[in-house]
Amino acid sequence: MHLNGTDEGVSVLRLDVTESALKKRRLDREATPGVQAMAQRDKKYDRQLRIWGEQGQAALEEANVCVLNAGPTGSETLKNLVLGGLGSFTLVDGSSVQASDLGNNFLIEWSSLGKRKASVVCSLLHEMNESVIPKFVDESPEAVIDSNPAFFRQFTLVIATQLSEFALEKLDLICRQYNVVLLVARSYGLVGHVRISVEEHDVIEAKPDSRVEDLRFHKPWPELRRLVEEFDIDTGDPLVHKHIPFGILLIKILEDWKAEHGGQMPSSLRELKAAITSRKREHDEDNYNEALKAAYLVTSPPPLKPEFLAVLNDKKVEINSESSNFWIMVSALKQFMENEGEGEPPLDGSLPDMHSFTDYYIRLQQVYQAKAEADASTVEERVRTLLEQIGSDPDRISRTSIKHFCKNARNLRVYRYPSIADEYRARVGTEFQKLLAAEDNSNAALYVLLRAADRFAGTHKRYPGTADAEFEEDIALLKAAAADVLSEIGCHSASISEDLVGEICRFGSTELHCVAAVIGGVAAQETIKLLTGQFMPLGGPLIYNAISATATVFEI
Amino acid sequence: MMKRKGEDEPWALEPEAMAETVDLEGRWEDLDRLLLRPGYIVGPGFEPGIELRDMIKNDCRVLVIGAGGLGCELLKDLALTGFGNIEVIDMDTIDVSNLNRQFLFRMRDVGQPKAKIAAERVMERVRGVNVIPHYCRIEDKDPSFFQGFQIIVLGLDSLEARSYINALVCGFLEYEPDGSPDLTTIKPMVDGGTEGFKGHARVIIPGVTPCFQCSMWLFPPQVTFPLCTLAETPRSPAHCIEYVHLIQWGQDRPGETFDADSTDHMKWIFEQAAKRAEQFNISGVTYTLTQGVVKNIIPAIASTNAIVAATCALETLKIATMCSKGMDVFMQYTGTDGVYMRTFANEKDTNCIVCSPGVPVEVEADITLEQFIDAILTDSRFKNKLLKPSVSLQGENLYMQAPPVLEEETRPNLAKPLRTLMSGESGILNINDRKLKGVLRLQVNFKTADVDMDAGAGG
Amino acid sequence: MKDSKKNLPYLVGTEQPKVDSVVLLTFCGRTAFGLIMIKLFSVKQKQKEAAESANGRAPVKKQSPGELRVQKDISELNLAKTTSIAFPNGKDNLLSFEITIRPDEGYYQGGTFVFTFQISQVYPHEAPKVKCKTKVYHPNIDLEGNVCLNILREDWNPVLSVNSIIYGLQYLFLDPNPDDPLNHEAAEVLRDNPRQFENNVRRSMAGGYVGGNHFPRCI
Repeated sequence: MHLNGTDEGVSVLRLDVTESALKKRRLDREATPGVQAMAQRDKKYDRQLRIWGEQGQAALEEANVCVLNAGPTGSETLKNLVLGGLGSFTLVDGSSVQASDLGNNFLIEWSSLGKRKASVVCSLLHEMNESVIPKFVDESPEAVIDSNPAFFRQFTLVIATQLSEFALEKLDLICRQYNVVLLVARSYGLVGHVRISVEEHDVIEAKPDSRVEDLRFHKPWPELRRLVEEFDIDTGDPLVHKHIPFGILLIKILEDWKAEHGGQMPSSLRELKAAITSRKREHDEDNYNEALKAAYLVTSPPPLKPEFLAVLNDKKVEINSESSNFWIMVSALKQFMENEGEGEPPLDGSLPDMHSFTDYYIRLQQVYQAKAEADASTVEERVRTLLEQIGSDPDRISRTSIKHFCKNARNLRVYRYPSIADEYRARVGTEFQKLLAAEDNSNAALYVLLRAADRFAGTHKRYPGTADAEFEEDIALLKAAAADVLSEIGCHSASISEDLVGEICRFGSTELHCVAAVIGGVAAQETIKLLTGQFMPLGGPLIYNAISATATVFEI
Repeated sequence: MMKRKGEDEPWALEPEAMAETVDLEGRWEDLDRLLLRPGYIVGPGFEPGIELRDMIKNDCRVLVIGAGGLGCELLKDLALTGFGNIEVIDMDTIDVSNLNRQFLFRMRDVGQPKAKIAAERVMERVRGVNVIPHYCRIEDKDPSFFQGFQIIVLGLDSLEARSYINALVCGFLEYEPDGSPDLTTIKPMVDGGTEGFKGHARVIIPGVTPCFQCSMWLFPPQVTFPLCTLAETPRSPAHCIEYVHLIQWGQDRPGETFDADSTDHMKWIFEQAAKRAEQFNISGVTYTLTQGVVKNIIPAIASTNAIVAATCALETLKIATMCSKGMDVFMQYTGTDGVYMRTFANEKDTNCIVCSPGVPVEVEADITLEQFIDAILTDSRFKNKLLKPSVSLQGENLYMQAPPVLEEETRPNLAKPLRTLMSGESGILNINDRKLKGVLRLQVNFKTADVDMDAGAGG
Repeated sequence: MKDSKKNLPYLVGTEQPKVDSVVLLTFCGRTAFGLIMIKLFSVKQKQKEAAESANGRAPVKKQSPGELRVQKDISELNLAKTTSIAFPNGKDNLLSFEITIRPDEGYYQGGTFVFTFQISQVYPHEAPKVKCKTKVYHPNIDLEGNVCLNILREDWNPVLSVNSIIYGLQYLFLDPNPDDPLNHEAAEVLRDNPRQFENNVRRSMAGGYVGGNHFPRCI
């Protein structure tokens, strides 16, 4: 390895292999003559490209992540990210490999005993995927936090593993100052903790499990209505009758109903279903069966989610020259909904499969796609105007980005996390109090106990239960520390089971490989979500309880 | 630091020499806290101590089924949890698309057997662990092979394989006359599975917790398209791909077996599907999608495998040592919307065709199959439940009431002594009858004690 | 999950301990008095294996859940007189068999049609794979033997059985359905000119050409 200069006063070392990594990445990325390398890369990442796509992968490959401490929690987190093709990482650890590392960390070899841990783990991570750029800092994270806060500015995201709450508080301030996302991961015996800290994280592609079908059967736009007119759903041809897409059937039947009832909507789902059934001729008409199943979309179209409405009503919708692309698009979206959209966000343009002749279905699909395209164009115009108004380049945001935004508009999310200092100072909310008061309050109690253990360590310079001789004494002291924490967060009356206190002392701050692997897995998933801007990240602190194999996310 | 004299760098010893050495002192200090100290929330009969640690290191044999995404993680996790004797079975070879998560493999290993490479890599990295690979199908192994392990951990991606192992392992289970499981015949299994950001882990203790078959309904059926839609009214790219795969291949390439692992075959499917899509004005057929549809590819990432495998390994440790409370009993993980990790206590199916005890029936030693059928027809417990019972012993059909070909073929058995048909042993017979909703399992015991093998062996 | 419930408390006192001094504990949420006695090292297993090998007899053939279930289906088959079943692999392998249908009315009266059934190890989670071995001129069966029957694919569910499929197949011969075709030409003829269709069916069954395709005699 060679010294790669200093980085804000911190000696950052690069492995010698870095040159080959750079070359490999260049090969991997160049379209020609690296077509083959590209195909190889696509094959290698195939199973994940199917989840987060080319865009997500690009975000991962551009990311520069810092990981503090090279124990199993840090190593496992990085392992999962490196395998997926993370761009580059810097591992910070100031310790040497000891015997215990050989019993809990797979990224350490027997022959590494006595060597510097950051270097050892870094090189074994690199060996796992040579297209990743590996760096390490052979210094304790606490020292770097204290002496070189600016060091953290360069990173996309910082993952702090196995840090006590005092160091975390400082690191969080630094990260917030530089607007770097902080992810906290900790393994403690059979308990784990993961938390995100950043002022704001915006999600466009939330990819919810159950997609809301935004089909507008209840208020078809003119082009859709015109298409419906072209169909004679009472056709005498039985083959045609059973091959008209259910979307057309629903809109037509609803129209007829309204015409017969002075423009009124059916008062109940049952009424609508009866109207559908009356037009059905044979029991095996799949399109009618589908229409009956989907009839609820007419009587109770999917409402806008509260999280989405919260985004629309966010104060950042009032944009200025400092506003991010995201908020400018939200602002345009809000204008669109108040005007052209008539209360609805842009149509996403997707259509579920419908039993139908091919050409009927394709025509319907085209009408949906055209409407989505038109909506996106309207939003785009508004975006350009807004950009001009705030004195910015009107072409600052690409058309592709705006279309992508519009396609996912219904599921926009904004996450804001309290600072770690705030979390530690504040009294907890009623939600947490309720969990703590519940009959089985284990996970809430473990949250309190982890904080109590840090407090214990602050006072006694050791974690509870570290030494056999002081075991009994530590139980009493930990109980007292837990009582302190409880009273500070405003839960004096809550009780914590003696068994849990005993277990925390039994664990004695150990980092078990399997617990670290679970926490490393969760931390890597969250990192991927934060880096790609896809899916929905953790909303609050998470406690993982390996005793019961459960986890709870708290609202603090 | 190490219990060996003299060397400056004891860790630089040759591997053979190292096998002889005891562990470095303090190597397992994290695990020791769990295994050597008394606990407060532990399983029944937890006895902390060196013996316990030595037991998992020396005596407890664990079988890992599958050396893929979960398998690689499991081998690592078990090795670093103190299990010293692990075997792994997998029939697959390494593919490039495994490398984003199967961290024991490298590009140079492509084409090599997964089990072999995985075992080598874990032994290289974790000194002292013994991993024996088996590069074959699970069906190639005799039941006695599985019998030889104390715990079986499943890292599989197929329902069939899970179902097969479950039936085989539950087949080891025997019940006491009072209907409680004979604890000495229980072989615990731990099962994991993942898909994208989601996964599950569960503990199957046959006779105690629900088996795989008891909760088969947890697994959604695969989505299939009607063939006539594919042929006549395709509407999506997947319809076009499935048409070429299921119908056009047979028409255009008669006699040729389609091989999903052949690039040429896959390319042909893709090209034909693209043509068909164009004909029908459908967009979106890509090579990636073609592969996905034809091979039913399940997306997979390293982090989810890590979470699920580590959960399984922890439960394996709990079962082996009782050092903590076992999970209750099916864990679900979802990482797409925040983090959701909960356990569910799903229930055993009391009539499960795989793991239920069966109704005890005691019969005379010399009873014939025909007399046996008459006996159960008149047994008050099955009153109005049986009309024309057919009798099977595992895969052997002793007497079938229908169809006529089988009735005729099995009729000679009616006159034979049941005991002969059951090879002289008590056991479970399956009764099928149109009046029954499912299968009736009967635990048949013969009355006389002179050749009772269980009693003889147990004495 | 439908039968999920709250975790059982860690200490369970609902069941009477067999020995007074023994505390009942739970493991995996189940009362597990004596579960530790699994001991993971069963003496009994070994004795049993030894006894089996001493006997020198092969262990009983292990059975998959799919086999167990199809055993039930087969033992309860209620075949019409027009239908028969054969087991090419013997009475103890019920996972593959052949069904022969000889319709005694309708367009296909007098023909003999053989279907192969392949049952999966996870049956009835998956539908049986059914193919028509006899080349037939039929709107819902293509020339490669693929059969378009909803319960074989999209409408399969575990409460259905081999019997339901056989009914479905019989019905296909009594009432071929031109609306969901696999053999497009045959469907069109049936829809537009049933008389012509009938002639085509007769010709094909007698071993002749229809629309350029030769059909082996199956009468």
